[in-house]
Amino acid sequence: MIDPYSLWGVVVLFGLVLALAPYLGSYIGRVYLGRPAFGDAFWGPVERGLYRLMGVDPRRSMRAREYLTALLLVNGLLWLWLFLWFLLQPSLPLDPNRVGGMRWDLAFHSASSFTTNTDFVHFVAESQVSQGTLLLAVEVAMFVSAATGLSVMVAFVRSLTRKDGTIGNFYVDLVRSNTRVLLPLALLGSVGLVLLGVPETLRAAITLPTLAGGSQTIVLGPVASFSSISLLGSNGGGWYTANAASPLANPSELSNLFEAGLMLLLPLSAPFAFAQIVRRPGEGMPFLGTTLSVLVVAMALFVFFQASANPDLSGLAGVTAGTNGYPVGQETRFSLVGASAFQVVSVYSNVGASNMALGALSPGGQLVLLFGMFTQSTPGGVGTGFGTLLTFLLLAVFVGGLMVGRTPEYLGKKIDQGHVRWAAVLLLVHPLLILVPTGVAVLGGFDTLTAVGAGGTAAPLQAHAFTTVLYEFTSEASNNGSAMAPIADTTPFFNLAGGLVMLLGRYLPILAMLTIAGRFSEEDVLPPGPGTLRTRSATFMVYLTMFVIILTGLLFLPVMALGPLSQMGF
Amino acid sequence: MSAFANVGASSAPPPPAPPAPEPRPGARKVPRPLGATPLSHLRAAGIALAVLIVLFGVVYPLIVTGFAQLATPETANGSLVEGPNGTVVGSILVAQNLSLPSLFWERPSVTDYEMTLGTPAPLGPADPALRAEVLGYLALYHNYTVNGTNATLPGNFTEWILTDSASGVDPDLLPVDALVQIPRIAQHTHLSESELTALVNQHIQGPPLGLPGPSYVNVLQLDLALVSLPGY
Repeated sequence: MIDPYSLWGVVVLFGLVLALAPYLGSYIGRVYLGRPAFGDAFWGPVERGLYRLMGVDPRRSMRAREYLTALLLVNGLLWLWLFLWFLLQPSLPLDPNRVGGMRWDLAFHSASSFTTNTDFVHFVAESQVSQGTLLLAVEVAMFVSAATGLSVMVAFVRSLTRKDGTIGNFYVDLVRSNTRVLLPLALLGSVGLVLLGVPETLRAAITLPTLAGGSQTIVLGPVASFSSISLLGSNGGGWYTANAASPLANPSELSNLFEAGLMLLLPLSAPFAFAQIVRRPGEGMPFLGTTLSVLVVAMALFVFFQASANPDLSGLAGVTAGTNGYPVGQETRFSLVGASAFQVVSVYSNVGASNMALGALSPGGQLVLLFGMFTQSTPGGVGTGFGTLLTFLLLAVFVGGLMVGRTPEYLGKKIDQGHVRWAAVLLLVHPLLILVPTGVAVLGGFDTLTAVGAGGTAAPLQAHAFTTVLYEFTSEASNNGSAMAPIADTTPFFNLAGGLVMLLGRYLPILAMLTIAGRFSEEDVLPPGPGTLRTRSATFMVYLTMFVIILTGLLFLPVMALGPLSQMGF
Repeated sequence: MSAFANVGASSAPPPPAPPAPEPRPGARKVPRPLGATPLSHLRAAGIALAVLIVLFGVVYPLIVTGFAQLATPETANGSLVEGPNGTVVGSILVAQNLSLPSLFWERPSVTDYEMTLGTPAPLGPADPALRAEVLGYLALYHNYTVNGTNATLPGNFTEWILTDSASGVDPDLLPVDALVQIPRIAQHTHLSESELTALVNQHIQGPPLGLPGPSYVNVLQLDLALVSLPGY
């Protein structure tokens, strides 16, 4: 079932990304420290001109509160820009396919979705969104939301090295994230996708007579450049509704692996950037180790569940099982291992791109994906995922320090109840944003998602229906964007509740992270003493991994039992 | 908007003017400092966004499109292919409705291979309707109409050709699902089964260097080769 060719493809992919990550991470660290870095000669004058135009003094560092204000202002303006495009696109330029306008609640959901790096879509991209909206609004939001995530991460990490009460200049971080990190990587990624056969043209669509005498419309556009930033920036939105399952957006096994690599690149570089910024080589290792061990186990479990034959399809006359695993909702050109690696990487790094139909997965596969969105930190979205894992680590140091009688401090910064209170906020916001709307949708009779394919009210179908609604809000709360129910969810309830969950799921954790950062930035750095807990050890890495898994399990086990676990027969 | 402005106003009072913590090499002139008023924040945010919109909404896709049109014009324009009479008949990457008795058929599509209709919602494994759907597709592949009468094609298909794909336009088949269609095509063309088997075998794509791994055939490519054979 698992052929060595596909397995080696995934191994080589991880090897390549891990070989690049230290260099990229160290480059990213230098960029945010303002040290000389590759590209200064070109970008230096451009950035200085831009700061002057903006009226920003790049050397002025902000306190946490002002940093947050600037962040919310930029994101708020971006949201408004998107909302207006979605609402008014028929009367705006670049609409060759003649799409209509969006209802206001759908526009609210869509604008919130792309501003918050979620890219959860309640529309059919090919027929409901104009090319102008996709390029001038959505693609811009893909860069800016990823840059926002990177800025939050960098400000958080920087606070560990500061004593003057400031955490950096948001406008400088925003500009440099875009010019120095995202744009060069997106260009390289686009070149790769173009060479692998992904379309990149200004033609919007072609209608042609088919070989058998029918007619077909092929939707085209600058797909490669769009997909590149979508995957790199943990956005996940697709030019096509079928997303990365569309053979135009993902034409082969090789492009599938390349796209998985694009998704892994920034999340796996983050620990190295962290080590560079705090100037302690090796301190990134617990993050990397935790992320990789969770990711590898998740991929193995996912392949295991997907390879198991579906009992319902066995024993039919005239039907043989075929090779390459369970076929429903899968694409023929991908191998089982390659497709699974892509899907797990995508959901665990909160990209949310899909190369398979998630509603048709085995319940075990759905459970594996849900778990990644529950932790949202292994590795999680660009920037915010690392910030979440750093918060987990602070909690782990605090709890572990109390258990073994060590001073709760990390890199010379004391962790006291003020930090832990906000870490708890970050931790508890997530289940609240998932469980409350799921409960309201199911009990309040708003659930229209599961009308799809629900042929009766048998127990496994009820569990499947519950999982579908749970998956919807989990994906929105973690700013993931993958979905189990395609395009059946455009009622005002799901648009408004979903949009709100995405906004709160994005900005409440950012508020918590920046508040913790603000407190750190005001504190002295203590020299390490005999009571300091060593975080640069294998023991600590194992402890952190177990901490993340157990904490997530405790928060979400009941709801997993109602959905996928009950489908699996527990 | 006013909510953001208020936050900015309340954070205005104490800018403690820290000593420049990260002197950037090469920054010669000191630009005008940003006063921490809501209006100056609005200006910075607005201008930053306007510049990024032009950079990422216009310049970036144009650069990549220019590169793609020069480097790989065929795939950049959608991997379009011409039929026997020289007109464009489809994209090699997108499945199309090929259900003539004399052609190899694609995987089924509930959206009839139309991308603008969205994607199918394949049924979950626990859904009893799934088994019925598979049997329905099986009947479709086994029975077909020729000259107004029904004909039957026996043979074992795999689950792959009897279920929905993720995209609805999956252009490929497992080789065995192409081979099993050969008796029907032989009946409707002047080609022998061994010629057709050879044709399918020529079009199997798989891992390079003969490594073991998943292999498949592209149905449109196969059919284009089929219709250009002399005996068709």
